[in-house]
Amino acid sequence: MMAAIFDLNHPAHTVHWHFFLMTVSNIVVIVVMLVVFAVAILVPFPGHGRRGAAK
Amino acid sequence: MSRATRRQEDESYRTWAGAYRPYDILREAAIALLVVLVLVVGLTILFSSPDDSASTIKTWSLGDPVDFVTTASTELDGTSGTGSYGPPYNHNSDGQHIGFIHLAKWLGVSHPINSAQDFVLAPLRSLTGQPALQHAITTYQAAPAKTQSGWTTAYEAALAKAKVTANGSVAVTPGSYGPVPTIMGSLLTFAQGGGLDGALLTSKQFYQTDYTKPLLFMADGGVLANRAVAQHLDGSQWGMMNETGSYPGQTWLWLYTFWYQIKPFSTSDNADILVMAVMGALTLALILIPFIPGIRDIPRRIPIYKLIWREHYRSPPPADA
Amino acid sequence: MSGSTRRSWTGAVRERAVGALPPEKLLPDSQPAYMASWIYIFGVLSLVSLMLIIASGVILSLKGPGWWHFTGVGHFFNSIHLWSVELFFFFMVIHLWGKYWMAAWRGGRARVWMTGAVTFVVAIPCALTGYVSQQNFDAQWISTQAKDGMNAVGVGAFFNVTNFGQMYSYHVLLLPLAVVGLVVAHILLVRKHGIVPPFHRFDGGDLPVVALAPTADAREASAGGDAAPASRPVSGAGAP
Repeated sequence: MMAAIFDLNHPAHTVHWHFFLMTVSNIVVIVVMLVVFAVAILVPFPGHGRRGAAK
Repeated sequence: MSRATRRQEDESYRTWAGAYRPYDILREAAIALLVVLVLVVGLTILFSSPDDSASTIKTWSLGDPVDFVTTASTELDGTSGTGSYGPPYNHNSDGQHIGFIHLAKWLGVSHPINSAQDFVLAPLRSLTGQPALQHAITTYQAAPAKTQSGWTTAYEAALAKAKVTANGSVAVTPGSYGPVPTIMGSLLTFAQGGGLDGALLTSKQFYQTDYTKPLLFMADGGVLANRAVAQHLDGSQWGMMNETGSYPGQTWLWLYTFWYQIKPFSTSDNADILVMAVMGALTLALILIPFIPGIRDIPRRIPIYKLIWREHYRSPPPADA
Repeated sequence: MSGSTRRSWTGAVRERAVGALPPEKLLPDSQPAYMASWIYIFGVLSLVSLMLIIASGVILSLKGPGWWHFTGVGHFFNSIHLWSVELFFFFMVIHLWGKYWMAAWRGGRARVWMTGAVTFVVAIPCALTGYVSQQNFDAQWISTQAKDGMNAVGVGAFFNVTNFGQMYSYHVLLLPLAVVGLVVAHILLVRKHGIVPPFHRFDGGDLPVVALAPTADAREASAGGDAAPASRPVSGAGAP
């Protein structure tokens, strides 16, 4: 099996502000979640009659 | 809003008597499965997953003999983390508490560990053909407790300035250490040869799945902690939510690790039980949101729902309402 | 139904189950017209992520816990398992956010919220037992750290995170059963109660019966735009 395209096996970069200390990877995950949530709410949903979404 | 009005309004939300439209639930689930499968395989191909290999007592004792011997000496005199832990390992402290609530103490010593016996003396007693070692152990065990701790305390002070010799053993300045250097020297040799890993594991029966002893021994020293700090996994580095390398970790533990960074938790001996109590209360609150006044009303007051249902609010109400 | 004067347990359970969840409710082919937002897909995305976690987990357990360290295929399935878990939590939390802002517990749906929240809570130790079963440095560190939290509240007396055998059993059997059981209960409750309707328009709009005093901040201007014509439920399912 091939190795990963991006090798993440190096110590993480971090963001440090006062006592807040988070790795960039975790910050990316959280930011992407917030963005996806906002996008899900704001982007118009396809019109009626077409295949729709569920719960 | 009065209680009666609230109940009345809530009843009105029970059923939907308005418009429906066609919908294929199984096809939607199939499409979702495909989408997530593609995402997961994509992430796997892009990033794979981390697998930093485990430390062993052998690699520890070869890589940092002074730390190994210092830790072993504190196991012998019971001043190590495990030795002085309390329940569930021993009675040498009461464990953590909040006020009068001593949960650890109440649940008792369920995994008894005697650090001197389990980590040092019993493994060494199993070695045959080493009369000098066995004599040293007998001498140590026969001495009064005060003498024993005098030897180990002096030895641990000397270890702070110890040197590692060419063959990997530890040399300290001469002093009054009794049989302790002999015991520690043998333990170091045993560990560096790989025998101690096995001896700590198979101490009760042939088949083993319980790594408590070797893990606690390593955790009492610096081998795991040094690797952890280098990888931002230490508690003070919000390490609970991190992963080795640059991978995302257990991001959902962010609030759990947050409390450890601020007072009073960051300076408390009872930090763990305090944080667990706070998180337990918040978790209960999360589950019971429907019943908590104020919290349950925020969605009504901050009307993000108007964005979610904007199509519905735009369309005219049914004529026969 | 049976006509017999002696009530059978089986008959009673069947009638209760079918009463709560007739086939057209269990597998509906229509949905309320107000479900017109992408936020509604995060429940099913969480569900399918869980399916992938289980599928990849089954493969990992077929070959035993050491396999993935020594073969490329094993490492591949370990990666699938890890990223499925990350996506499971990702989608589930967004689903939770959406349901909170919709106040989806309204109309007798408190148990839907609670089963969902408990699923999230139980998924956390399920993940933790996985992390400590990895048999690598990460497992060593997490277990020796987590033990302090467990021990502090007495849970360490019977849940030993440094005991690989115990943790693997919890991870592969006990906690997945709990998560799946909770998810099944959650989904059946959703099907039973239906998807929560929107908050009322407080200009006297679409909800009949209840005459409520409108609050100042709940006025909705009726827009003149296109709207789906009011239609009967396609499948004759009646009220959700």
